[in-house]
Amino acid sequence: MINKIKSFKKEILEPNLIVLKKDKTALICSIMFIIFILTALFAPLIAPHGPREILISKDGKILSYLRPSFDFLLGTTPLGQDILSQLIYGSRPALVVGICAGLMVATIGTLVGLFSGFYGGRLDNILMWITDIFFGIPFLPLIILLAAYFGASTWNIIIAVGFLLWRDAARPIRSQVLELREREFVQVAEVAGASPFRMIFVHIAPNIFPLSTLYASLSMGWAILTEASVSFLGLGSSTTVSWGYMLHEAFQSQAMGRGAFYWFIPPGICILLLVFSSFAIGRSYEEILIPTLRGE
Amino acid sequence: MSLLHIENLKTYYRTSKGLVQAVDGVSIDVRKGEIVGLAGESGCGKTTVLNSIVRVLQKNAEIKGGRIFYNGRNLLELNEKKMQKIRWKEISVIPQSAMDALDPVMRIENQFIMVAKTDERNKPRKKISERAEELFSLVGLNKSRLKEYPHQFSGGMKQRAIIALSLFFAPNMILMDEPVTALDVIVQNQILNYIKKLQHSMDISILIVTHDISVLAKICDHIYIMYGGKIMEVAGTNELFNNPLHPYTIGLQKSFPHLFGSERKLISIPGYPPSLLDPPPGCRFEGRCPFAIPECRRENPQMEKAKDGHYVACYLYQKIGKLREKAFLGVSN
Amino acid sequence: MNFRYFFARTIRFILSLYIVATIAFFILKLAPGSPLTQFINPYFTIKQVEILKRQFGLDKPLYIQYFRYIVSISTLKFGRSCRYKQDVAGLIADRLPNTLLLVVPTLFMTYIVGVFWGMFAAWKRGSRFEHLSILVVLTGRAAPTFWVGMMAMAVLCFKLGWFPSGGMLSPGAQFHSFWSKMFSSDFLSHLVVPLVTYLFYLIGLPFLIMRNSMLENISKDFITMHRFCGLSKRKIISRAARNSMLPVVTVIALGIGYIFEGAPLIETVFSWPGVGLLLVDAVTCRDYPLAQACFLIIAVSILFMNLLADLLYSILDPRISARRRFK
Repeated sequence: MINKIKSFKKEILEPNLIVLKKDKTALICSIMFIIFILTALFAPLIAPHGPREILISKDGKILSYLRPSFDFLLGTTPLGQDILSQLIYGSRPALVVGICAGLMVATIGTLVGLFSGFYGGRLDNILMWITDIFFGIPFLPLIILLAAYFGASTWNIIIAVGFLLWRDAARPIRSQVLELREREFVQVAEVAGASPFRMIFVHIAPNIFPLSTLYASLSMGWAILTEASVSFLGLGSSTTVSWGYMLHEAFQSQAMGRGAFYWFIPPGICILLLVFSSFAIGRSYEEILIPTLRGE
Repeated sequence: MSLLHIENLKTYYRTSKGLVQAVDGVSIDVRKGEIVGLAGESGCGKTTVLNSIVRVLQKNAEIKGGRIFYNGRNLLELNEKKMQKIRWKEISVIPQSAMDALDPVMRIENQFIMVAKTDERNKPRKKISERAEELFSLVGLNKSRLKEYPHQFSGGMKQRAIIALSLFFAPNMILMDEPVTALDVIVQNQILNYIKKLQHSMDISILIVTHDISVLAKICDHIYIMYGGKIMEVAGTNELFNNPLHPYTIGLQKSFPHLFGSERKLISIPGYPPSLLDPPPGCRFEGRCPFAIPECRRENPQMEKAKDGHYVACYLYQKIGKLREKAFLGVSN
Repeated sequence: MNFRYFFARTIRFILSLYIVATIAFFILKLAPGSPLTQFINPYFTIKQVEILKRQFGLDKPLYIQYFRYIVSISTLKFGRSCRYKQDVAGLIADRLPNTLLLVVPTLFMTYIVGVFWGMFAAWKRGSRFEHLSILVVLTGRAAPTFWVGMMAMAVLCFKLGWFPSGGMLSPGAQFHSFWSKMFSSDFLSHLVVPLVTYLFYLIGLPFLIMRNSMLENISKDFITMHRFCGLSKRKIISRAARNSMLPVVTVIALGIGYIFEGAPLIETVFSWPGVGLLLVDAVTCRDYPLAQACFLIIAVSILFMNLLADLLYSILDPRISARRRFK
């Protein structure tokens, strides 16, 4: 068992670390990603104030509409909340949604792809037909509709994204499973009497792990963007302050017209950087899979 | 009178691992109305020779030396624009895997038209179609097929279509790279007969490159044997087959099954071709040659005249006759 | 021109429409709370609720409700909007053309610009231009569209004042006809910023596909053959591009999906009076019939344009129409 873990580490971790060293973009993005995670974990320690804390000056006035100053590096909202603190705390919902939805999409998509590709025949037809149906459903409009019917909360968004986006992962994984199935090492296992379960999870699954991880990271990006979009439209959780929610408030109070760039630029940049990082990290796996993309 | 004269051509490829000396001092002569063959293993540089003549090379390829005379002019001195006037109008090329050489989203007729338009004089469409029909019947293809797409043709038909296309401007010379390799034997013979017929009726010179020496035996006047980027032997076809002098040539002959001759054992030449990244200082064939002597390893033998029209690059060619018998008898287990 | 293919594909389209409608129906049924909540106030008696239920047909068994739903959808009766007190179908008919006026030009621009850009990037392979292009395009993909819209609005509309900051037309503008309206400078000036915002997000797809496809095709045998034939470099690039475009067209379906999905966001940011904005408004006000209908219309538009794209592809690629397409 320990040997399996060791060889797993060697086969999966090492080539990835090598790629990270070579690909500067992936390296920078990995570092950025870790910074975001740390920010989310240690938000209460880093942020000067609470995200919804209304700041009141010494003489009882609400400190609203303030431009950036030494006290409030990113100024305050019309409600008197510190924008920098909101920004820091905003990393939490983003990462929670991203990671959970990403894992969910990768899991469902991989399972569908595995079973579809391995068993083929009827099961394959049914699963792929279902996948195609899901493809026909417009993503964001459905999420908006679901937000209306089921109410807005972070978990609802995670589940909604997870249940829809696996459709993108299922087909490519299925293709790869189909190809792997014909390879010798699987045939050998079959002849040796391995059970289907064993063949799927012990032999094939480790080889599609890179592809699954790719879709996990891509889905993470998409999930973060979706959460931001839904929050922006005012359909997201109103209790959690996410970056999307910040932009929603900024938009509602016409921050663009007032030139409150300190309010509407930073949250967007954070979203951009976090999503870009997840895409970039995911892309480096793609380079392992598809060497032709390695810009020769 | 020489139509094409390649003199000491050197074409190298720049790769991440170093400089690959694919063509290292090759000299070939093709006279008017001749069919000349260039034989050699895969990877020995034959295709590069053809590509160098018309200068359609990969980005990392570079012609490092030598001269290529066509009708007295050195092609390597011409600029790209002038080369474009030579390509297809004077020298045509039938590339390897001609199967994929036709544009998949273009009707065959339109490919003729596209090629026709590369000539300054703008012929009317009707004349171009007429010429295309003429050429198609020459290669035995139904003219109604002109309106079709490449994927609707079989392999042999595609080959013939390409041959027809290559004759459009009635060039003086056609370079063929493995023209029949991907086809079955019967179709091979058909195509070779077409080629011979065309060559006679249109008085075209042809340079054929292939690894299958028996193909060359059927239609060539002269054959060049290439190995490791260099020419090993050249002679008239009959002379080469009856009296091969280079150990490699002898090995090649024995590698191909003979349908009618006396029953001989098939002998493949053991070993692998030399790396062209770091070629040995001596003879390129030395590593696999059963007759090698120490001198072969030290210095590369120059081409020497064995007879009229028969040249060979080997230190031992004079003794080859006797050695041949020995080798034949010795390998009878 | 393979009519069998046309026919089969159209059947598939109609089938997909009904499947999506069914899914929408069941989602509504699964939602917590009753659709009647917006009509009922706490003072209603149980009897009054019962009457209301019967009026909406909610007392009937599920399969009958479903059947009625399918029938009414097929005859384009979408019910009444609670908020606007009008027939939903009418509201959507008003707004749908506006969305199309935004979406169709965006689709064209995205693909034309994307294809040419991808072609140049492949031609100048390994250059700084190519690397920068890829970076820009990936950034477009990763940045939230609505935020890009806000930024564009802040710079182009407010700071520089070059373009109006919202809406589709200036209020009170008068036009002779539909076409004079569409080509008026008023409309076009309103169109620019949303279109550019949209383009920034969407261009990644055609660009990358075209670039990858070109790189693949440039090294193919038929291109070498064109070089042997003495074709000029320009002609060779155009032949490579013509062959490379097929994957781009395949992917148009995906692009169409993305465009319609982004419509609610762009329309909200720029107050563009289209179906997307209507959806968001309806959802915010809990106007379920309207929201449902907007969703369906968006789904239908996507499916329809996918159908057109598939048919276009089968005409462009002679290899597809020649043989039967199997999935």
